[in-house]
Amino acid sequence: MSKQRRAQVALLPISPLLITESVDDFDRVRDAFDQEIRPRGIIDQMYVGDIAYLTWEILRLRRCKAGVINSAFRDALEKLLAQLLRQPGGYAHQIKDQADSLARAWFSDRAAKKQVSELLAVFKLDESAIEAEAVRSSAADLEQLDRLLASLESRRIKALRCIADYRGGFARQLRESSDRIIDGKVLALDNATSKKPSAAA
Amino acid sequence: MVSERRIAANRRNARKSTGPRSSIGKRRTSRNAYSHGLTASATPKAKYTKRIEKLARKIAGNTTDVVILECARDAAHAEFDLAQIRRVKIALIERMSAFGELEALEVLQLEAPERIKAWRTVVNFVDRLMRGRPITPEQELGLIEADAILDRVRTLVGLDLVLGVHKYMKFMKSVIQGTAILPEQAEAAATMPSAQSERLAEAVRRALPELLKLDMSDAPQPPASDRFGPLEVE
Repeated sequence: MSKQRRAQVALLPISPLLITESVDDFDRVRDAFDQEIRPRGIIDQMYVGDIAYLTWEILRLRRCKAGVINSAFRDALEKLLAQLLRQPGGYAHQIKDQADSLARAWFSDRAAKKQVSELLAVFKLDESAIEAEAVRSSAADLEQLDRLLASLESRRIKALRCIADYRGGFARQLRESSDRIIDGKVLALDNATSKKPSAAA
Repeated sequence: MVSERRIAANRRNARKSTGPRSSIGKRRTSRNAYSHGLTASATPKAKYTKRIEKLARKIAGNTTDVVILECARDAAHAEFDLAQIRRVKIALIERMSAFGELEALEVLQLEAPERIKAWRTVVNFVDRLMRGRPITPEQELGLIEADAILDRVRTLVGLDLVLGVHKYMKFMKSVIQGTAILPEQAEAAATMPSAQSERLAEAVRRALPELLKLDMSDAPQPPASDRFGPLEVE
């Protein structure tokens, strides 16, 4: 980052991160946008900072989304096993302990994993049924996370569009200004040539 | 021009107004000078006034045009407001990650006589009701108070009403007499996962309602043509 850019960034408020997040990683995301957009002035810098932060927040929420599903996995497996193990005419509480211990063992014990797969296969199911149950049981949280993600993504798209708009307006203004200067210069040059003798004369 | 008569009438009327009388009214008006936390400009922004002005000057360029400078100030303020909301979001997630909750649950601290009195009030009330005896307003008030105390007992025990009325009454009686063993109330922080990534996901999940509220304050930026439209290249 050039000295001038560093001075511009220093004027902007610091982007707050979680204590578990890496400042270097965030700087890398910002630098990537810096390289791509090549901000020219402070306004461009503001947009780049905003886009980098929005991207960072999106990545954070996506990680959380995966985390929410993963943490619902054990309960999901237990529920599913309760269905799979239940005998016709039997009651859920009769196999609750069995389902609980098998669900617990599934994460570390190969034999338990195999047993669950076989149980699932009896009903023509596979492990995606566990994931589906985990997603279903955390649907309310996932919906809220999706709302936040959609809001961040629409803001990022808007900020990107804003750069294009701003640059379009900026370029138009530059063109008009330079046109005026050129017109003035041409006129001034015409006057100058009429007064000064040419080199050929 | 306001007439002397009108001024005198206004003063007379003002003397009649003594402000809010109820404690609720007084409490409400005591905060009249404050604005909403996220848009209040006095405290947090005072710290950043110089930086906001510096940023505004940079945005406006070399112009001396008052209108352009004012627009640039608006944009600079918005930039710092956004940063403030982001700081609040981070702080909420961090707090949730540390404590597992934003507001600690009230710990039940009830003396045994208080619980027994509450229980007796409820039993007497039900008894009178069953026998078709009239309930006095005082007894009704006592019941509301007793119910609030018993509600706290129920919350502590984590009891639901699926047990059925008889079992429930029996169990509550044993709780109040101190013969039932109460389960330990789990600390919210203890229910948080220990692995870093899972803990963050859980903290964000628990803070979602607050984060969504903040998302409303974190309003989308107006298009560049609105924000920076009047700026001209010098």
